[in-house]
Amino acid sequence: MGLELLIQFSILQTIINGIITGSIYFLVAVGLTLQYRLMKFPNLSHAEFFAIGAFLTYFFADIIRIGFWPGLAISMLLTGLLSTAIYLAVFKTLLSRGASLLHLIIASAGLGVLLRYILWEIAGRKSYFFTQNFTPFDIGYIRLTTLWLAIILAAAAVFISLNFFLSKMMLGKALRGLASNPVLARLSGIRSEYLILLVWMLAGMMASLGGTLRAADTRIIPELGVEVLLPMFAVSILGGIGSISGAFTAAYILGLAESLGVVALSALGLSTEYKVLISFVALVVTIIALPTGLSSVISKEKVRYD
Amino acid sequence: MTNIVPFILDGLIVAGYFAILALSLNMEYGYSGLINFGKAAFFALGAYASAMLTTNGYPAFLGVVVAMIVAGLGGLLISIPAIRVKSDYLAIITLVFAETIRVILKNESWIAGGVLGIRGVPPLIDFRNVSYETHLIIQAFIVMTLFTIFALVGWLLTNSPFGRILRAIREDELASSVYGKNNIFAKAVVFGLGSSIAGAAGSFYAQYIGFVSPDLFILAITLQIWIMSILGGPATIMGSFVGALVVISINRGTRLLKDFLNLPLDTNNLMFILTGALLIIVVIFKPTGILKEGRVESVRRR
Repeated sequence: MGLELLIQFSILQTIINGIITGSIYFLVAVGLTLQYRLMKFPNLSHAEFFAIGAFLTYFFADIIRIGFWPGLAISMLLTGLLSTAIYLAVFKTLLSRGASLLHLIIASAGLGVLLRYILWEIAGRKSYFFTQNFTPFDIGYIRLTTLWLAIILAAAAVFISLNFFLSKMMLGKALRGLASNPVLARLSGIRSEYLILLVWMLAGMMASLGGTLRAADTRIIPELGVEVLLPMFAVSILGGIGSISGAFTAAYILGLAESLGVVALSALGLSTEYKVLISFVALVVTIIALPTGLSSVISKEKVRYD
Repeated sequence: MTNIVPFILDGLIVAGYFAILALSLNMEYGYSGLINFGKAAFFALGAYASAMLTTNGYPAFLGVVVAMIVAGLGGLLISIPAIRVKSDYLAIITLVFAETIRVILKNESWIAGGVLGIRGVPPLIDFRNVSYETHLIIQAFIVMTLFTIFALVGWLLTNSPFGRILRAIREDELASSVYGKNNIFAKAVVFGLGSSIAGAAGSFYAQYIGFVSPDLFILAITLQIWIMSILGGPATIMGSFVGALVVISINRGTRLLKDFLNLPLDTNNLMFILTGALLIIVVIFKPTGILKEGRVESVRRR
């Protein structure tokens, strides 16, 4: 392989890494952004469901041994149910007692720490790995694995089906109505409580999907959630709260920026952990320059958020 | 039980610097309604600034002053993007700031010692050669003096005309700006001051335990400060101390109970699981705290 070809090859590989990272960020941020738009508060504990999903899949796939994909399906279901149950136990109680925005955010932060340390207590401070093997294959000079393909396909499938759900289906339209004007939505007979439960269910399911795929790509540790915490918020704010296409665009921008950033950091001889600075800068710049996020640029629908 | 006196004194000192932190959060959250999930970062900035100076031979007193300046500047800096936006964005941006600071401290081994941190930070006033108990009593005295000073500053500030602006911002930001008050300026000042006080607590902390490392300044610590602030009573000065004392007693109590019952749990994990649970319980059942907010002293009728 000539030098030029080698450079071309590594650039392609960097872009593919960015797309994979972006897909994972999209899967975890899309649930948060929907929840945020509907509930009007950022659920700081959302990232923990990412790690919980990965551990549940590990439990079913490698301890009960029912295989990776069936394990993932059960884990998505259970994580979704857990997320819904936590909404009912904590946030619905708070809302019915008339809690302010501040109290909801504080409770979600407490919940996040609670869940993280319970995971740590159960799993301990070691890494776990899935036994499932993913066959690598080559397209041209690029090496892909079935796992990477699955990550990209999962993100694309979630994006397309959510868009279809929100724009074409009655339930999805009701959801958008509830998010933009709760009082009017209730007056027109929308069952708000069921829709809220549905969103928490979906958020948990997508967090579990993203978490399992990320864990299969790296390793299963309780810190999985902390690792995506910053990019997750950067994606949902850069994309514009509640916007699916905004989150999709923002996730790939951030994913590519991170994978290029990692290359740049290692070329400069700095620790690659500094990639969190990319999320931080993206957040600060968005909040200063474009507080409504990309959604106000890419779609005609104005996201009114107040 | 020969070691009961150091145990109680240590608990009192820990409650003391946590009370200072809770007080600084109370000024931001209780009086002005600002959410700060980055308290641990300003605590860390103070601790590291002080540790770096004093291990390089500068006097310990200077460490406190520089810690306050560094943390205060950090607070002002983060308030530039964060203060103009709504409170949920402020929560996110301070949380992200704290995680970023922690990653930087963890990786900058040439300046901050990396994962290992900085060891051998000298105490503010050293009495270890007399006896350990005397040393602890002196440290407790220092931290109580610091708390008294900051409580006085907080009391004067929140009962001044400026304090009334802060309460007005908390209740209705629009109304406050209609009356011609500069909300952004007031919020930036209280954020800078709160961070600076947290920096002083950080400096004392580093000098008391003698070392700093990035793992001491995690989100769970910030949440402990939140519990103290809310449980003690938002918008009260003494509430910070009451809250700190209650939470530290619960922490110490569970540690003793765990050893007594021989539970097969990790102490650290148990403490933070309880922290999260306690925060949720406090927010659900007692969001107004133990002490109630007093009247503004400066407008009391004679």
